[in-house]
Amino acid sequence: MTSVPTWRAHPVRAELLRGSAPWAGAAVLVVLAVPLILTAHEWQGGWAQTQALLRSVLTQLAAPLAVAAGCWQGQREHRRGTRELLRSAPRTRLARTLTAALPTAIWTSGAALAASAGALLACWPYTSAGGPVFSAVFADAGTVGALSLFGHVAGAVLRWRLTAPVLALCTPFAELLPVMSLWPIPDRPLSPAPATPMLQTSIPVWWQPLATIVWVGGLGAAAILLYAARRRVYGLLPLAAALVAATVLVQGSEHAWRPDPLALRLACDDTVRPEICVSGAHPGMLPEVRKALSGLTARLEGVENTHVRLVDIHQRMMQAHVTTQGGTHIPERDPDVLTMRSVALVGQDVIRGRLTDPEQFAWDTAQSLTGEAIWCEARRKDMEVHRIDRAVTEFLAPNPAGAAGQDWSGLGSPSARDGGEPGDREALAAVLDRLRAMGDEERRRWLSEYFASARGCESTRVPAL
Amino acid sequence: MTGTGARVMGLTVTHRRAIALDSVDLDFGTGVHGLLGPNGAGKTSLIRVLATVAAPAGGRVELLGQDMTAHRERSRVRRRLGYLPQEFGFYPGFTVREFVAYVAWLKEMPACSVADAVERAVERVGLMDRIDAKVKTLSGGMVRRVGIAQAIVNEPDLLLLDEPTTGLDPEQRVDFRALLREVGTACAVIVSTHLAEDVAAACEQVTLMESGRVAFRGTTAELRELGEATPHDAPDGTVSPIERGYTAALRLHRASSWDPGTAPDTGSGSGSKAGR
Repeated sequence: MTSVPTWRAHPVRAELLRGSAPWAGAAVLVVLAVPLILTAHEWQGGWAQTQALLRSVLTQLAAPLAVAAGCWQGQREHRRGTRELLRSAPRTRLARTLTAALPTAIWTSGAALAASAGALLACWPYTSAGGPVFSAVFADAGTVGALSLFGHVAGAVLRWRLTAPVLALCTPFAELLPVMSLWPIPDRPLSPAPATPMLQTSIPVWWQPLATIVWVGGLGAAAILLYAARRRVYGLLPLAAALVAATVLVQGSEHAWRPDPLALRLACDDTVRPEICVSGAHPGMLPEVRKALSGLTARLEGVENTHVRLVDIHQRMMQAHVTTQGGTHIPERDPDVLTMRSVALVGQDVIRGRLTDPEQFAWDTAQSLTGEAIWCEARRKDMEVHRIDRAVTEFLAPNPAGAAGQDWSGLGSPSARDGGEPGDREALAAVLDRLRAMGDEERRRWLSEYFASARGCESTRVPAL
Repeated sequence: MTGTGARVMGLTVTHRRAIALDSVDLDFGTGVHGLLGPNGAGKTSLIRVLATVAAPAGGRVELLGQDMTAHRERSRVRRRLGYLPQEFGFYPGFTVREFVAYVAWLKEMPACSVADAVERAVERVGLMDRIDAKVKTLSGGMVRRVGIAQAIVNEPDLLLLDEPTTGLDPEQRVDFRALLREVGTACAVIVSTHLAEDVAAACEQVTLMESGRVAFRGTTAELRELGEATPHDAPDGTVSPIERGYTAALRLHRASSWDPGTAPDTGSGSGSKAGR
């Protein structure tokens, strides 16, 4: 007789290596990998975006697959005709069920963890601050495993061959049940379905993932025990734990998430004027933004009356969210602070730690600087003043959509949009030429005077050009 | 566990309102017992009750000296039971070693003894060279041998085999009968089969069943004698004495069932012999 280690003879090893469990794990890995790879540019570089997407694909794609895999495994005894043999054995149904069901749960949740780890690793090189919320990753993977246990019990009870695909199709809707309009709690604390906005702006407090695991895992354990335990009353224990966790989640829903402290901070460069401040969650973007705005800040050197600081709008919104306790109103304006486009919008303005269009970013920032004047109705009606506002914007950062005087559509030119004078383009180009033709000192003085007027609507205060 | 074999008293089994076993009294001691009978005779119903997978509608079942009504005793007996169902289900992705080990685990064998017990069982059925092959790669006969290996992995005190030779080729059948004889020296083996030659070659005792009742009980030699004593119209050599005995016993049982005056003492306990 050859000596085989005891652990090799244990059926859990065979169940883990054979049958449908490894295939289920591979399938989960594939269905997670495909959307993650296809949308990599939308999340690489942002922990929040990565985790929000992970939650979305885990609950919408991996969970239904795990339910179907569990169901398929649960139907195995019936499909393979082994019930007769199993029923003649003394090993309890609970032990048999756990041995058959846990490998699928382990493989599917393991695949979910592996995909999550891969995504977080792929995200990491492009991030500069913070880190993932690991407890949320484990809670989501645990949810996938727990749902496979539900599937197993359903498969063991329902012998219909199409039970697995039907359950897979129903799972996303079942996950959304707690968030439908009849559900009285708006923050969907009991639903594993995506809470993308929540994950993008907030992080869970320590007990939230723990309570979620107990809630979903408790239900899964209760299903297994109520189905397989000799004393089914034991199933009430995990059920009670799940209900307690659910109560904690519902009662504490207002305090289960907190704003990401990093996103509330600012990472500033005060070596330039105006100072440039990006979200504290993306301090690594500061050199990129400074480079994009280098032309603008160079042209504003020595100019007075400009804003002191350009601040990432995402940070300002987050700050507003905190100060208004959940509201989204912009807080009272700081006259020295001007908001600019956010570098936290990974996948839009920023892809893998790079601005997608630095020229557009600079032009948008220039628009913000002159924006109050441009959108002021009184100044818009005065074509000459409005032309000056637009010329200053173009001077600070050229419109990437076209050369000056050739394409002003991006500026929202009233002449083009509102049917203004046909000669407006030429007039605007002439104003811009005059501004460019000024000596440096003269232009600084003029711009200082202009920015003194740019915060108001009085067109009479705009210096002539 | 002190008792041996199996004993049923007044056993009645119903299947979809039809009576599969009609108040049968039987006992099986150490040795190989053949369970013969035509399709629908109640052989599988009896085996399933003895395997504790089907509950009787009436009567009493004692296995290895234990009454089967209590859960604790039932579990104790199941540890000492070997069972090959008529429809042997298996997990095709498992290797032979893994599947037999799985059944050993089901039978709550001590973990430290499983590995050796598995190899011993697989060796006894002649599959040692395929022990690490997946079951799905095996031929039908080999799968049947896997079924036998799983049934004997715990060296049972009561071995129940339902149509075990189905799918085996003649050589494998010969080997299997030798295995049965070897196992039967130490425990009670009950073999349900429709092949009289299996019984002739491997069994010491034979129970012939028909329509849920016992048509004949006795030794294999007695059944053979009955066959030899019965006139037949088949050419010599085409029908074996044991097959003639099988046919004769069935005919006698049927005749007695129709004529209450000559009814044999069937279904009333061990030792009954058709027509006597």
